[in-house]
Amino acid sequence: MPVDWYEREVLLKIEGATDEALTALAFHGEELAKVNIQANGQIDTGFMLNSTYGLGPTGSHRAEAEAEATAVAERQMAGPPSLEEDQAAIHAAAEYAIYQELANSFLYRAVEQLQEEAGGIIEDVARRKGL
Amino acid sequence: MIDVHATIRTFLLADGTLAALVNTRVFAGRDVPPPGTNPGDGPCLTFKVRGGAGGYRGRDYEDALVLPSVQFKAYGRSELEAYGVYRALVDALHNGHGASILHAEEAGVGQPLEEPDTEWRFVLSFFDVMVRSA
Repeated sequence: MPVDWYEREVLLKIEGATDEALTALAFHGEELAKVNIQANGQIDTGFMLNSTYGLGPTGSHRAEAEAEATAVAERQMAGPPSLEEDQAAIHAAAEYAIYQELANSFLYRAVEQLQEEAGGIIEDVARRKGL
Repeated sequence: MIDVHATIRTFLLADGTLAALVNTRVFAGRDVPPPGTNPGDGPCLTFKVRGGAGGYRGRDYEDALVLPSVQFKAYGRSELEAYGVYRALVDALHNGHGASILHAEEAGVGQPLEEPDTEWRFVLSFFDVMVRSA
């Protein structure tokens, strides 16, 4: 049963972030979510792990995720979320990801971890931009 | 440390409407109902902490307040019955407070879903809860 699940509460509001910073946050959130999936022992075929990706105003890892995910299992990824211009997301695109999330959170936990680290990531991006 | 699961369960079972629906079938610290429990025999509720903040740890308030994000699944014999349990949960917990619950707030609107293996119908919701030492 395909499920599109969006949770308002899994939102991390970053004041004054640049587009680059938002995208960097999404990519780092992707890394954290993937580490959590492995730590939780939630890997069977690897489809959910590989189909989890970050996207933001200046970039997306969806193409890489799609190539890697469909290489390990014959499944389709859910369509990408539509974002407004000041938004970024971590998308767990396996249709069964919600049930894994409910059993043992990997995504909400990643957002909480990201919240703690966000200051550092924004500082790094600001430095690269010479701000 | 505060037993968040026990505190929330006690708070919920004190609500007459919710208790009338689920009797004592409120399962704390669980994703799905325990073995031997079938929502086909009557509605039930599962919940567990999925994260949140450790609480205010001021000098005089050590461990006095915990702020978990809590995942709830309201099960029923049909989609409508599951939604009825969910509505009773919202009425009992949203903006609720008492000796042990300082405040609770629903995060988003509940979403009807189905367990992929058992086809049990449930409504998924999340609450931010402030639990304090009674």
